[in-house]
Amino acid sequence: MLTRKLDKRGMSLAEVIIAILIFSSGTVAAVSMMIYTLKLAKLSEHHVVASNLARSGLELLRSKRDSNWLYESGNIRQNWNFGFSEGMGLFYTVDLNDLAGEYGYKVLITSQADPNELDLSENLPDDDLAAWLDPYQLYLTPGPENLYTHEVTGNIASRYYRQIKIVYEGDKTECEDDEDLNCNYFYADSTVFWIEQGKPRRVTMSTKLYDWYQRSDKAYYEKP
Amino acid sequence: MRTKKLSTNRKAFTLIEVLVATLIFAVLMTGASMAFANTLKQNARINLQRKLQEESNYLMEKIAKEIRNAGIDYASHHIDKNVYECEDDDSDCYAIYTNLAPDDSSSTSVYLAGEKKIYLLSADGNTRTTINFPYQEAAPDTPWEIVTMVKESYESDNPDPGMTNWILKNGYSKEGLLGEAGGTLDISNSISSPEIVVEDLTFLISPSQDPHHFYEIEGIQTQPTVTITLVTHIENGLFSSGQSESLMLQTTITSRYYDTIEWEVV
Repeated sequence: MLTRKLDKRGMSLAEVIIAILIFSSGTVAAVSMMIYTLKLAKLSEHHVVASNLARSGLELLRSKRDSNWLYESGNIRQNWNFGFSEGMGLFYTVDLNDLAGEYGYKVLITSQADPNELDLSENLPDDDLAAWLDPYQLYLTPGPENLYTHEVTGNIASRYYRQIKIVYEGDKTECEDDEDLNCNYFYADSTVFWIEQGKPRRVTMSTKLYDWYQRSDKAYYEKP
Repeated sequence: MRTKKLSTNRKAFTLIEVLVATLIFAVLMTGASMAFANTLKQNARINLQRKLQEESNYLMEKIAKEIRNAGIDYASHHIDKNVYECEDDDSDCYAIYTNLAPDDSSSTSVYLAGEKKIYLLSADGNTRTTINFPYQEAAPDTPWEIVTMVKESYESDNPDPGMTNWILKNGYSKEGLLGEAGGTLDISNSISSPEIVVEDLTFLISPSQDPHHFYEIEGIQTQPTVTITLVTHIENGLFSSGQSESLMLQTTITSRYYDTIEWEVV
């Protein structure tokens, strides 16, 4: 009689709570894993797009350097690094810009804020992030071409920001002469940055650009 | 005795208990199976996305590599737009290079907006590569899914009399029928994966004229740069009929081809 009564006592509150806890933690883990995979899939898509944009940045720098080699007006040539001021870590935006009219697009380089203020490839300031980011935002042109550009007017804001960082190294006093390749180069970082699920995400690509052609010192041809 | 035995034996479930238990079980199972089905579906979607990203990136890299290692074949671009001159008796048509920008009558075609194909020349000037997205302006809704790449070699000893005299960008004259069998057809194949659909492929070539030839014009002194825009989509994987994913990639490639500028020395 006594044993039967004990059998029918049911579970204690503590037991029930623990059981529910175990069950729900399992469920929550499963559900959150599903949601997380979804987010990851989206993130990897943005990564692919961003790495292509980062490469664009470096290629546009290269184009600018090569165009400096090409440039000639009268008998004046441009320095290979025209547009990139010498310094330890200066920030730029680089863009294809329809300045050249019927001849196509031109590479436009714009120097940006104080180097100590914002480096997208590093930690970010907590305050006023939007204002710091603003000059680096990329926009999409609405036309059939759908170009990514820093030009704001008439374009649609994209989620991406692109920053170019240029660092000169090397002690100029140790150069053998002006043509010493060890002196005529800079490092370039192209960082594409975006904010996803409240967290900063970034892709950074780096390269080193030399003045290996040294057009500025040489006359390869004469004009007719 | 008998009745007492029946009434005290309460080891079985009551109807209500069974119903309630079944209900709870059914609700839980419905939830669980829905979650499972959803997981399968999302998994299929992620696989679709991954495949799309891989294939699109591969196509982009393949095109980028070609552009990086070649010069832009401006002559072919202008011929493609029918900017060429013919002899009086229409017997021979020549693609003409001058040191002047084309006159106003052709200037509408001078500005190269986004093109669906790009012509590239190897450094020795003998091999032309065409990357083509066969987009039809007449029927833009028709899906053209593939991107093709054709490599043509132009050999100087081609005796066929019907050839068009094709003047290459470095000023040398080569015989070969444009885009046809005049050159030796080396490779002609689809470079996009059959698993994805290429919705659009655009090349924005800048500058619009060959900077090594129209050298006097200041606006043109820019190393050739191509902005590639690739729009792809994929659909109908396993467990995912009716699903589709799309992707737009854009990058810019600068040609590594540095032509020596061949002015006649006075």
